[in-house]
Amino acid sequence: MILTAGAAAVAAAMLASCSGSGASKTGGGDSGGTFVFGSSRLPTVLDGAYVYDNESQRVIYQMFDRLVNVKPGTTELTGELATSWEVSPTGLDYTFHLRDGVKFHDGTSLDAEAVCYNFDRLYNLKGPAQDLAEYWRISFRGFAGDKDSRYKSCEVKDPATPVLHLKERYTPLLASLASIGFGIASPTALKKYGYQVELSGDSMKFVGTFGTEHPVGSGPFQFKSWDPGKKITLERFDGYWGDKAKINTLIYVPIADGQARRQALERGEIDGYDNVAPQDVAALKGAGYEVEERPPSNVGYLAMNQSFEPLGDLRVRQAIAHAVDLDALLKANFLAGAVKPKSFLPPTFMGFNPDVITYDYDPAKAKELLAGVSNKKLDIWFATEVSRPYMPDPKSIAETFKSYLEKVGFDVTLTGRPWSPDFLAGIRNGKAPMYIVGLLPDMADPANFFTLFDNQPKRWGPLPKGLLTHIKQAEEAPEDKREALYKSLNQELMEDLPGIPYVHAPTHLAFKKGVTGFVPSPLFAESMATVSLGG
Amino acid sequence: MTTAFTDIATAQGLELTHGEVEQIGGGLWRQALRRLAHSPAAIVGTILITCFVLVAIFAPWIAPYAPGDNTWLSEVRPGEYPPPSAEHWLGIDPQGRDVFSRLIYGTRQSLLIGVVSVVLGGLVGVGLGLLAGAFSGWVDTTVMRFVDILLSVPSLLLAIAIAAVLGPSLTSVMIAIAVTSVPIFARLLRGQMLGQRASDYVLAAKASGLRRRTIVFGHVLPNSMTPVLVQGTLYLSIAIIDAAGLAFLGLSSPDPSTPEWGRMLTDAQDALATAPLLAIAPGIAIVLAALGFTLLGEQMREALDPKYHR
Repeated sequence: MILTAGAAAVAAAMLASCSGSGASKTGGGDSGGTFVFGSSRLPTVLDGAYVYDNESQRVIYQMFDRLVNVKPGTTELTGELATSWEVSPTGLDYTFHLRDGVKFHDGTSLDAEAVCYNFDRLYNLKGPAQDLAEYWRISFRGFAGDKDSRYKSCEVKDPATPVLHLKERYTPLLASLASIGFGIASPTALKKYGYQVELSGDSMKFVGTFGTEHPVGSGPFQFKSWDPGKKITLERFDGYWGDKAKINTLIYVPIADGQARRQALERGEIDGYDNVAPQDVAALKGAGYEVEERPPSNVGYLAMNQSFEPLGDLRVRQAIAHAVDLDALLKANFLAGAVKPKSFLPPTFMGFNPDVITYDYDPAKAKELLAGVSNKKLDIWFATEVSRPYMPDPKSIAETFKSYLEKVGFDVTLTGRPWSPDFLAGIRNGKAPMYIVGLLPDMADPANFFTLFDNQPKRWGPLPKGLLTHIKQAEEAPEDKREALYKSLNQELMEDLPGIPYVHAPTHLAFKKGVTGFVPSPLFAESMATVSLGG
Repeated sequence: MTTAFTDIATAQGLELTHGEVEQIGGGLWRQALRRLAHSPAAIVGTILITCFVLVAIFAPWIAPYAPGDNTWLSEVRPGEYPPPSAEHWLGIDPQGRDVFSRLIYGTRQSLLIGVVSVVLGGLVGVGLGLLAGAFSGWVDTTVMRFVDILLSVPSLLLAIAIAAVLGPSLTSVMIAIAVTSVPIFARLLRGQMLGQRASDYVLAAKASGLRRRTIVFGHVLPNSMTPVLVQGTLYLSIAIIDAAGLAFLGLSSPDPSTPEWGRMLTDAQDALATAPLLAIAPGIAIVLAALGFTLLGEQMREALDPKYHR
């Protein structure tokens, strides 16, 4: 781990020196300059259809526009490529009115034809590409040929009016269309460079070069180059329909270790970075850096896969919940803005229910619940080589859980696995009995959180059928009925207790002094176009 | 202190069952013990080692708290850990546990890894050295080329590679460190045996018609073992440092909550600015343990060298 951190720091230093970064050299006044952003790793691919992670989202967001988006810093929907839209009373037809004169980075027009081409390409994805298209599967469930697909067609009513037709209602569709999974790409570029995916051993290989070498959207930044493992360079798109980006060049460099990111900022090698370690926030503020805080819209949780014994036993899950002092865990690992969860859904989302069943810290009760239980062996997986807002140091949180659980009589093994692919694949394939992970929402809808439970069944083991049915019902119910349904779903979920949500954590970004215009978003919908390096 | 000396004498007593060497060897060891008893460095080394051994054996009675007890987590804030106090001599770690107690339990891991890996490496090394030293010709060449190959790779790099291939566990750390020590023991014993083979008493033994096995096991080997034992003591300090190094790199026990000095160092690196004691405490423990074995080993080497006279 330390080697990685050191190597990353060296790489960042080299990058910074050869890219001529640092506003001191290239930045000037209120506009222009090169902004170097330190992220914990580079994107998997730059095609929004194929990614479902925050580090990819961060870069893709700058290059592509969506039909709708959220207002900066909020979860409120607003038009982006569409200036307005109508939803039919059945909830099955969505008519969008497109903005005039929008051009892709390659100079072609963004019209209804282009929009429908994008939806049709996702619907017609084949083979391994379907596995990657997580946003599509969440929103439309199936692909061409699947009986249960919600997608019917996309109709070009006129060049400025695409209409989406669904077979079945999916109420959070607009919120979902605001995610990077539905960024509108240039059909010309998609056709020319291709977007095929092949399975190569255990991993996916991007055969088409659209997502690796030629991503073309209509956003405020356009793709310039990608030096794999080292950096991604974007440039301002001067033909952008909205306010042009203030900086000329935007570079992303990967620095896995949080301490190395901080040092890179302090040395002036980068102009800003994300996921500031909680213990660094005060020090950076004190030293005059600009620190931005995202509201605690995420959730971190300890999952309990019920296929593994003794986790199938509700008493054991309840004992685990009673054994852990979440207040102490929160105070020791997070800053004051962290919220102790009532359930998986953060309080800022529609459907939040403050009156669900709670499991207070009560070791005596935990021991009581374990009275007749003979198998007390637990195996908790934690991720290495990663820091996430809900787990700044996964190992530390894992050790804390272990200490608490051993106090009430459990015998706990901790298993560390690299975040990607081992840890994430282990969860997905149902190999991890217990695991510490979380969710960073990118959709302004509670469905984002409940999809967790019905989209990847293996990660939880057998969940009550009623719960899964109710999740589906809540997704399909008319808007005015949904809040009540989600409220009761929260209660249902906490009764079954498939996991213990332990935090809604605020997250922090740090920027060089003078950097302005960054608007932190609860959904990570953060444009770098408004950012300037200052004097 | 006297215990350790008695130990050495006892160990030597076993050695002395081999016939004629008794007279010479026994004299050498007695002299050596006398010299060691008058050497301040040897005394300090012995005291240090004895302390660590006692702490390791009696950890549950000496440590004020269990190593995993996180009762004090509620006093921890990100980047701020309770400093040393009367109850917690070395303060509290970021997971709310008593640092002093973890340090004490960490002694067990370090000594266990050190002793097991040196014994393991010593046995294999002595075996190879014996083969090479007893038979000249192709056996010697083959064994020594193999040993040369092992020597050609930097020892910590070799240990990292072995530990990485075997997967992170205590056993793989022990094996990794043992393997890196094999060539040292093998070369040392072979060199000693070659030297002994040319000496007059071996010639005399050969002339009187003794079998090779008797000469090797009864005469040459016992007379060649002293430097190996000294090397073993010295290598314990290297083993303890290597064990800490491998733990620091995340290659020891897969469970991060296991109290280990090297791992305590890794965990402390993010808190160096705010809580340097978290790193200094295990650092000092590693230094003292290594120092103990080095001091005693060096003094043993000098004391057992017949040519050395103060």
